Amino acid sequence: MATTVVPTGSTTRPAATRQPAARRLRDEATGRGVVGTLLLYAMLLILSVLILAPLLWMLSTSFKTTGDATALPPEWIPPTPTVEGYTRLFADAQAPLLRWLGNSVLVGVLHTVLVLATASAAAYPLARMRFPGRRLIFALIIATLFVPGFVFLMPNYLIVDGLGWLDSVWALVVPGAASAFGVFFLVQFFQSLPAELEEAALIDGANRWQIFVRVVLPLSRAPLATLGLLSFLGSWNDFLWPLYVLFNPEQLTLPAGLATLRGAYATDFPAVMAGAAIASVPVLILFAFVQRYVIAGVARSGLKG
Amino acid sequence: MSTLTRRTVLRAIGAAGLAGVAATIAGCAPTIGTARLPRVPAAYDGPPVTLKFWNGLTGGDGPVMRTLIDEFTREHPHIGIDMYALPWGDFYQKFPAAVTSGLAPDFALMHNFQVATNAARKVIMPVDDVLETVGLVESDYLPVVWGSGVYRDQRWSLPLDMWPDSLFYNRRVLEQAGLDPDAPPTDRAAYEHALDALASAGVQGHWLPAVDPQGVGRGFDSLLWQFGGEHYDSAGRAATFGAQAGVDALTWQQSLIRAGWSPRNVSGSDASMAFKNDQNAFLWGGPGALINDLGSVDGLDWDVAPLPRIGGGRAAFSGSHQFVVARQPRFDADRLAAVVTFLGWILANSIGWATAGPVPARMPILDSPELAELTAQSHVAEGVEHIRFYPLVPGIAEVQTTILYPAIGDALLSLGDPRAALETATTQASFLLQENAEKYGRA
Amino acid sequence: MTATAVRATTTAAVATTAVSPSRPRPWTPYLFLAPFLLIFGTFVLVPAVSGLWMSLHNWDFFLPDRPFVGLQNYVDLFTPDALVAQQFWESMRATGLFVVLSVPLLMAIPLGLALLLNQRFRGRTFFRAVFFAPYVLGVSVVGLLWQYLLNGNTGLVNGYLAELGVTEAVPWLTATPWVWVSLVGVTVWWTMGFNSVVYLAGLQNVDEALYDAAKVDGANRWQQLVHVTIPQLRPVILFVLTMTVLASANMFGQSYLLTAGNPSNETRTAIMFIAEVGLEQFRMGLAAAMSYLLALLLIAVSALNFLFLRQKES
Repeated sequence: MATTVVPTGSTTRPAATRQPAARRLRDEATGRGVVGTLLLYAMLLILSVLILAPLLWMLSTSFKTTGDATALPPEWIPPTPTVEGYTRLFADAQAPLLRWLGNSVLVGVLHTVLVLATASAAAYPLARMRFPGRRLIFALIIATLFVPGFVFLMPNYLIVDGLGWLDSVWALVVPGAASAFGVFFLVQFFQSLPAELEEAALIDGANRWQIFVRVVLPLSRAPLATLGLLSFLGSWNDFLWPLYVLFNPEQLTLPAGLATLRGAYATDFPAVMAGAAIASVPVLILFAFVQRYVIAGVARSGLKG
Repeated sequence: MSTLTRRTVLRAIGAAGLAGVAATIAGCAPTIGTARLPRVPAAYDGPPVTLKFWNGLTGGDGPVMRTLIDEFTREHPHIGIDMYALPWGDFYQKFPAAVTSGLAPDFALMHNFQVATNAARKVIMPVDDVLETVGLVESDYLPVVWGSGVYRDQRWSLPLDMWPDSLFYNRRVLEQAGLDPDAPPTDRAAYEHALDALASAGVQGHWLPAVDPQGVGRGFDSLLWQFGGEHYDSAGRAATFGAQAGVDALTWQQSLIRAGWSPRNVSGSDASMAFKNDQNAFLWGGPGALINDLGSVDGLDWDVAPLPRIGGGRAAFSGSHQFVVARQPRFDADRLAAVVTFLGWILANSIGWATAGPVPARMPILDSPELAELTAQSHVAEGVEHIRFYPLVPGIAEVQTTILYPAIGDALLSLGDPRAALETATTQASFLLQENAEKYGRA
Repeated sequence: MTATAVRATTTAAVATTAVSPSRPRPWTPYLFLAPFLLIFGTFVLVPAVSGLWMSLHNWDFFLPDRPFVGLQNYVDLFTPDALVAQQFWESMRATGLFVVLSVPLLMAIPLGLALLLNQRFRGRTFFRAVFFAPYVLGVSVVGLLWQYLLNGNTGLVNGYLAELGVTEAVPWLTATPWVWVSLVGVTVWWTMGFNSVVYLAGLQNVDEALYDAAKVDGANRWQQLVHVTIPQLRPVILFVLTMTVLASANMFGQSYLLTAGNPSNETRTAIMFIAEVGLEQFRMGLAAAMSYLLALLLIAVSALNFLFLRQKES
């Protein structure tokens, strides 16, 4: 439909045939010429520098002395390399960075498992069974897709307090685990699965639970991976809620913990950057290995929307 | 039902049916323990305990407190103290929440102007019963300090220190402008004369922070009292800082900028950075924040004196760190005895705390030869008779920080009409005070 | 009645349920749903209602007495002289400003990036990963890092500007309009990779034949973009737009960490103010009222978004 709008002047039509043969060969391989390629790489390089330079500066500063950290003009290689920023941080019982890292991983994993388990189990009957209340339940879940999460902030604080979950991992793992998006996303996928597979299993005498576990879930690895990754990233990046429901330093997650460094190390930039480095380097290394899957997961999230 | 059992019960029910529980909880208030403080001896001698101590000492004052704790633990090996310092803003959010959730530390340090709020919220305990045990005597304290922490006829806190806003001056800058670095100005005429002399020497002498509302707000506080004003009526239900005294105070602050004695749009860190770089002569601020900060700058030649008298009388804003005992679902006599032992010890040894900057609240210690050895602190101490505290009204810190400080900051940024700025703030503050009075009055 | 319902499922199910011994029992679907509904009920449905209930009370977390005040909390928010109204609308203004400033950039820059990455060239996967990387760091690392880089006196950014001859230090984190440049810039730096990956997936689904047809019609690159790419991407653009508007309207961490709401609360966003009132001052009824107001507004904006783009499509 849109192509009809494209101008169709007859003079421009044979353009391709007018190009020199050599140029055309390259065009077929990459769709652009030498200049285009150089330009492309130039843009990519500039953008990469903008992304990477701050991260390198963080690493570099973490190995500087406090004096060098604020020296002008900026020095990219620490003039007097030192690990004192790290030692100061590790000596501080109030900043157990590895513990924070561990808490974040634990919360992220538990949260992700809970999301996958509850959302897939809920999506299955909604997609594949008929029962009274199905429409109502599905409508309720879909409706909350449009309600921003902060609406639940105040009441959930009271509920989490009432359950005795303040200052514990449960406050972070459970409340956000009812993923309306997850149910919606998986219902769509389950509905696209061919019914024959289930029929065969039913004839073999499998019950619904067995079909769900042995047939449906194995077929759903890709969407489950997507949902899992998004849940983990969401939990990993969650900042506001842990800031307010966690109290003791040993309970904090990485985001909430790092925020406390601002006060204690307001001007100790090497220590703050050491903290940021410890929080980001393992994640970046892990990301380097699994980036394909992370990116594929994020990419898929938009397709059905 | 105590919080502890409530939590256990809820956890059990929670497993059975979260939704039902949630519905009932949403309807009922948290039940904070009603336990009373047990009677305890002055010195703890029981089995080893480790106490939890929360405070907001995240600056240079934190290590000083930790050193004192180490010293105490050496003398009392069976009492360990786990100190947790978090930024004050976070502290005032987490401490009360932790108490109502049964996760409270044993004791904490807080600002005098937050004590009434937390007393009204019932998250701290009245400490009248332990006064004698920790050796607190009225005659050792200035009346304003002794009176702080008494709310509704009960004492809720034990004052550790005082940190009056004082005049920090850069001796080298004064000298270069032909002024006597050993005689900082003490009254308005001398102060303005000094600023004039500095201006002729090309220095803007008093960088007045307008962006950082707290610094500038406390300057206004001191000036308001100097001009004879009060912030609030005696019942704490109406704001009075917009009266003539307030207008005079704010007008004078604006005149610093108008006369070119201060640049415009200064932030707190700009002012102190300029001071450290010999581009600023005077800083108004508290000893806790500034003594160690300025002391750590190599080659800086500075000293401190009480604030000059700009208005009709001498007065300076001061805060005070005060110890409080957190309310517990159930009090353990051993732990409380250990707390009391520590409090008694540190109040008697508060000279050690003075190295952090603030001066000891206990007058005999303030007058001791040990304090005289701390030059800056002893100069700050010369002004303590004129210190003023915010009134003991619940929610008062909120009124100050969310209404008055920003109003002053805005008036200094815009240089708009001081009377109008203060009138708007007065209306807003009175509204909030009234609301607070009703809210906390019911508690 | 459930039996008939079950029998009426897909034709396949109908065929088998008659003979299969494992014919689903009427409560099977509810068992599957139970764990989800338990959490959903407790932390979504109950709060949605109890939050509304709270907003009708003068609800202080610490005080036992929480009198019913009807719509007073809402009325206060619309009383021009009330301080809380001024502060609330100031924070709404901050949020609105951030949305208006950040969303166009967060839509356009990632689209450009995705078009770049959609070409065939060596190292494509590498560059894609590099652009996505900041997102996995999380807002706290990003906040700490940029607070240091943008520091007015000692930051790297001003350091280089000084090298370039900009002698006056730029107050990136303390004065308008610079604070907004910083907040938006940092957000773009942090999240552009995420949006471009979503775009990229959409681009890869565009039918090559449409480009060929356009080329045959003599369309240049720009015309191909306007007449093929963007119309084909419309559903993805709608998704990214809705997501980005919501994310920007929920902005909290950047302001909290970088500017702390300064100067004089100008960058204190609505979420930040709600958290401050509800979870720091513990005036939870009022905070709940503000949450509902903001949520209503956001839902309206999302709906408008949706309708607008749908309209254009037809």
